[in-house]
Amino acid sequence: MELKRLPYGGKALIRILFFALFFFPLPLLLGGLVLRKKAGTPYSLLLKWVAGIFVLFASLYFPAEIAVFRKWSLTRLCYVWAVSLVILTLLSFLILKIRGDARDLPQRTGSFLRGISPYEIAALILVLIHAYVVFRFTHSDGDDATYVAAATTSLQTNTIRIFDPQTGDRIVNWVQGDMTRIWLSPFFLFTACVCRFFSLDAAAFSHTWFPPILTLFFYGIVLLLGSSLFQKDRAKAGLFTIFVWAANVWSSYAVYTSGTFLSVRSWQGKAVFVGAAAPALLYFYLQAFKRRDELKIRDFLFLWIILISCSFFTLMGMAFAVMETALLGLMLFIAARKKRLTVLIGTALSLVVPALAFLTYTKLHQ
Amino acid sequence: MSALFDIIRIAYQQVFGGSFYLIYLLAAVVLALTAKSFKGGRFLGVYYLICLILFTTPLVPRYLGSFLRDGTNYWRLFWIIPAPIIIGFAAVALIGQIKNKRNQVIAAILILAALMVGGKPVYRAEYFQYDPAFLPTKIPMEMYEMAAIMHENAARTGDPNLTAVGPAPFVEEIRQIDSGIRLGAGRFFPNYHGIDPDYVEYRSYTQGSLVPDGARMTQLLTKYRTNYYASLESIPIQESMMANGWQILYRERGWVLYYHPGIAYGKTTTGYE
Repeated sequence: MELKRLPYGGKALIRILFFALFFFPLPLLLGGLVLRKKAGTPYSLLLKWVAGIFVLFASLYFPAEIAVFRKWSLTRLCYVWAVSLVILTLLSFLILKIRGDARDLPQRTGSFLRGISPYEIAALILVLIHAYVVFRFTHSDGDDATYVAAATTSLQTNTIRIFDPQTGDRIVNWVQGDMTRIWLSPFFLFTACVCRFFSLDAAAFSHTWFPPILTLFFYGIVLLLGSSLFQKDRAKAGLFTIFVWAANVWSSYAVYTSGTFLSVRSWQGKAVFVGAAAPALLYFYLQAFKRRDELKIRDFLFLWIILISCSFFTLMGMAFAVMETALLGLMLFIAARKKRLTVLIGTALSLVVPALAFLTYTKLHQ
Repeated sequence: MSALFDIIRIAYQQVFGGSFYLIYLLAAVVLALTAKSFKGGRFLGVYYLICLILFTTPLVPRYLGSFLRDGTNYWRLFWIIPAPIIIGFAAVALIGQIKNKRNQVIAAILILAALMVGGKPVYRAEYFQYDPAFLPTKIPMEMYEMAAIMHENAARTGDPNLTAVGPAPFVEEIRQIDSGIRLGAGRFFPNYHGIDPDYVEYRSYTQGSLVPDGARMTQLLTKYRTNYYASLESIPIQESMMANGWQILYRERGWVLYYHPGIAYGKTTTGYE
């Protein structure tokens, strides 16, 4: 058996290049699909990247669910997702061209870099340290292994929902036991598809390559939250990120803190929910609260994408995302006197996909 | 009713440890609610306060209990109020109230120190181990070696049965490497085995929670058609296994892999074929 070491050589370099393109410029483009031109934050590129990562997740959710129910091969799912991504990328280019988003990008980047505060630099260094820790050091337990094993099984057998990732036996009754939750929120298929695209080992991707990207994603949302809370004051947003980083890193005072989850098992769907989706929902509603009298239904596109992603991450997280959205939506509804109908429709529509997923789960377990 | 309050109390302990961090959180919520210059902060504060009140009422575990595995996963509700976010906000808001630059720095250092003293770092050996060989899969080399040896042996002997069992680290790691090796006992206890006392015992042996008794274990491994057994190195296990017809295929870095040539592949009792 060939041992998968760090890739070297020309072919590996091309793979690394495409991998980097997939996780950085592509989400930047895709983010434009769900955001307004005026981002309302000094970190507009970061916001686009964050939104784009959610689009990446959400775009796989529907094909993945069909694949689970219809027992597609992994290859078929990869083709369908790749075609959807090509269509979404073309659409993003079109929007970029029409809105002229990239026109003054060099000037905006220049002024952003000139205005950088020492707190932002310190926050960046700390986040990079965190990314290095999850890249270089190891943590693995049974819970994590199940998700990786599910991706490995799909990759090696080119099947979905045929073999039990726990034992390798052929599945007879798939709604039995805990595994139903994994099939209904099949986040492991993201790992499997990305590994198929870039010829990666599922364990290597999950334990080494994916966690640093997710760390940047998690703290990107934290920085956005900071800029939203402190009225675009970049120094305060940077300081806020430093405190959140410290609270996360020293969060092992109890067994199940959010900081432990996003640090130790970031490749799991539930950790992505804790680290990214739950704060992203807060960020969305904070921004909506600020613009409560000029909200449009189109502004809720970002919320819909977050909630579809939540359905993809974890079934339980999806139920909590519904609670969080309903609660925040209700608060916004009370605060937005002029745009109550918009808030109501926008929030209600965002709950459709999770509600359907939840109904499917209860129906299967009847 | 007291059972519902127990669920709530345990969840709070699981998320906040002692009361120290809960006090941090409550102080942060109060600060967010009173921080007049940050309207978004008040929105955040109200949201956290509603959630904390809601999670403390027994109605929530009562109606969400079955979905939250009879309340054992009630702590997961706290995912929607990430403590670091509000603590970070309160810290910056508090520093923002201080006019003097030097005092601001002192306050920031004090808050960071309080977070560090009150908390416990996640960067520690229990969670993060350093892997000097640095395989990106971060799976120990001996697991790869055992997987390779099982395949080689199957090809050499013409035995199509590749069903293995072993202690938790073996079970967890081998399936991340190779889906071609079937595991006689997965991590979760399958529901359909709940009524089979032999399976309960079999799993307890193979997962290392019972001290192995070679003869009984061989009986069970034969019953469940498991022809590879990985064990941590132990002379009594080795003696009893070999006395029952098992051969050693691999022995390195604290692991021993046994093979039984006489166990035929067939329909298992796991509910799967």
